[in-house]
Amino acid sequence: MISRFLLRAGLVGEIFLRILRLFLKPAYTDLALRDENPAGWRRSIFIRIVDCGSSNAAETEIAALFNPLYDAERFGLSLVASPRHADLLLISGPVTRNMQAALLDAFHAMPEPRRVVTLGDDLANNSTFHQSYAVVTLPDEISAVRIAHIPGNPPSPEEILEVLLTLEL
Amino acid sequence: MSSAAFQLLLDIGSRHGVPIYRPGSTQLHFLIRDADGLRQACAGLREMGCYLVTLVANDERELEDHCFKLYYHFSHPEENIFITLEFLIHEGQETYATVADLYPAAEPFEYEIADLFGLFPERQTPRPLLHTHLHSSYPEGLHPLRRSWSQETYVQFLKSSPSVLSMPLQLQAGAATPDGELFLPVGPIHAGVIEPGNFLFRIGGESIEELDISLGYTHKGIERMYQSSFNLLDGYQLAEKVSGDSSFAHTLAYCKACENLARVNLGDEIKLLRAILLELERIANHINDCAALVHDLALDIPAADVGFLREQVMRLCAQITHSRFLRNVNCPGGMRLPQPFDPLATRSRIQKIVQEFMRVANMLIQRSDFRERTLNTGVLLPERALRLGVTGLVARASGVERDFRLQHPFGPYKDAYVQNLIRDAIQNVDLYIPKPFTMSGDVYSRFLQRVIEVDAAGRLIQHFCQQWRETPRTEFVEPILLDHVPNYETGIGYVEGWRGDIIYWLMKDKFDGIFRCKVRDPSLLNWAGLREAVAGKKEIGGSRQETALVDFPLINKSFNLSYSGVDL
Repeated sequence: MISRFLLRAGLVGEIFLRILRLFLKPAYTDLALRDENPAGWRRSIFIRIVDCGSSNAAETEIAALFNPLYDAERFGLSLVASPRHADLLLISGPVTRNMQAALLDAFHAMPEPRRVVTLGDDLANNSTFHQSYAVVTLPDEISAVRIAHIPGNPPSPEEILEVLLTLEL
Repeated sequence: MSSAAFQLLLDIGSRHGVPIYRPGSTQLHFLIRDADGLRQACAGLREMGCYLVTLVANDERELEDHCFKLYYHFSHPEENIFITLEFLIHEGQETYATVADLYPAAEPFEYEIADLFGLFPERQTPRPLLHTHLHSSYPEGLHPLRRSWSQETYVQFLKSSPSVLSMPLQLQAGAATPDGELFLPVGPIHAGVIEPGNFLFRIGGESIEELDISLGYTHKGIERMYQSSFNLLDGYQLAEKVSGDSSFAHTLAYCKACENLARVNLGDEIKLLRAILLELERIANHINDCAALVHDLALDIPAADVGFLREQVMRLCAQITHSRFLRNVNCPGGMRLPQPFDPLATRSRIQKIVQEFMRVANMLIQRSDFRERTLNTGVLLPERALRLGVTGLVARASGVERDFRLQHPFGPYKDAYVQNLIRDAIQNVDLYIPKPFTMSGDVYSRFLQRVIEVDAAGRLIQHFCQQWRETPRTEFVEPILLDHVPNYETGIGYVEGWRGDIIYWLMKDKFDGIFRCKVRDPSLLNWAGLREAVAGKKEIGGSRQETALVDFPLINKSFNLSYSGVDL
């Protein structure tokens, strides 16, 4: 009896909230982001960033993702301090020779299943950095589990968010 | 310019070397005879208070002198004069006289030259020569800026060698620490969203005794790429990638070096627009650093406020240039905007942002929890700052007046009104601080210095925008003709970015390519300042201060140095 009442109250509340959201736009956002995500996943993503030699612009933009305007945490995206806690490795910049081993270490420290997203034009195959002696290609085992690449120089927080929200994990 | 200072410098140079040429009255260039002459000339310059700006090594074995060359660039402390000492290292010689005891700022350059050129300073190193750029993932004896191998040869050669992670020397040797102390290695991947670098703390109890910083993890071979993949007119694209947060200042310094090389003088309009965007970048980054610092103090609400303002500036940048980092607007010879510049909109938005930022800053500096954490934390004493040769914001926060906008101004900065705005920034600022205020080099001073510079930059943008005559033009480019420029001509470009002075040194090759491009980010000099600010016990105002390990993130944020700009 009580449980049925609660369920009904919950349903009514949910419908009421949805109607309310149609009229209220979320404050401080230019993004037409709805309360449901397009891909339909229902879990949070724990992300570990590894800067493998980017100019720091990409890091600035990732940090901006978590400012009050983009507030990526409301979508269940959160940055974690260790790859051991991560679902997803976000790699930025061309992979330098000096960072290659550290990147692999971080990758192997992740629990399985491992997923990787790369970020920025400098990591793309046609980047001029690939002519440099100090830059290596993305290790094979990492590119094998890469599920997306976010292009941009660097990609803006909107662009990063758009890709992260449509990931199919 | 006072001719007395000029004459004095001319005397010092001529005593130990031969004056070569005088491209403009602001540049003095001497060919130094020998190692003794170099050291004596440096000692003379040091006595005058000149500071080391950059040290460029160049492989000129295929040119007429058949040797390696070192170019020491110094700046006069007050006048708009650069002094260049040219020093020859003959073929077969692998060592050269060090000046690091006279100018500690030369040390990071010497490490760099050791890795990239295989030329070593003659000195008893207090600690082993660090591999700053080429870690153990590179075979011994490989020096990628020597021109005897081409880029392709290096790439092919390195393909077969495995990549291993470098460990700090102290850990490799398993060195014993004194009783009660231990080593704490951090990095290269950090917990936060920052660039890779390795910090090795030697801690006794809670406090940091010593900090060793190993960089080079983001070494991308930028200086070699300039030689192999870019020519003079499109090299600005690579300058954007040196240190992303100062993209505009880096491209501007590159473009100015290129224009200096081609002896082109641009119109006032271009210089004014460049100054506006330069100050805009300064505001964006200072606000961002303040947000990060406040966030580290766990004051989340003001941090969110400031972070919000930062995003507003980024969007303003994106509106003006279609790039949030002001990329793709500078090119040698001028600027290209995607749409006409709107001074009125820029002015009003900047005014609002700065006003709101000052409100938050004023609130912060009165909070006791903010003062408690920042005052007397991570002190870089003025005399140490001067001795280490730190630059830019870090130097000014330690009371050392080093600002290229004042000493080496360009275009609109030469105006007396603008000079006063910058010089009296601390007087004009509307903050609850005692005036006159002395900067003491702690985290609080660096925070305050940022706030003051945001305020001054806001005023400068107001002033510059008032002077802007509205025009529907979007291209402000003057042609750069390289045909009449002699081969192996050099040019120097300098600009006061938000971290400090950025220097580019360019040498043209036989065609329109780059023979050598030396990039000097201000962070290169300031890392020594961070090391100094963190480590050991100091006597400050009669009381003994030591830095607790938990304060390190705070001190690091207050410096906010670039890793990528140093690793290149």
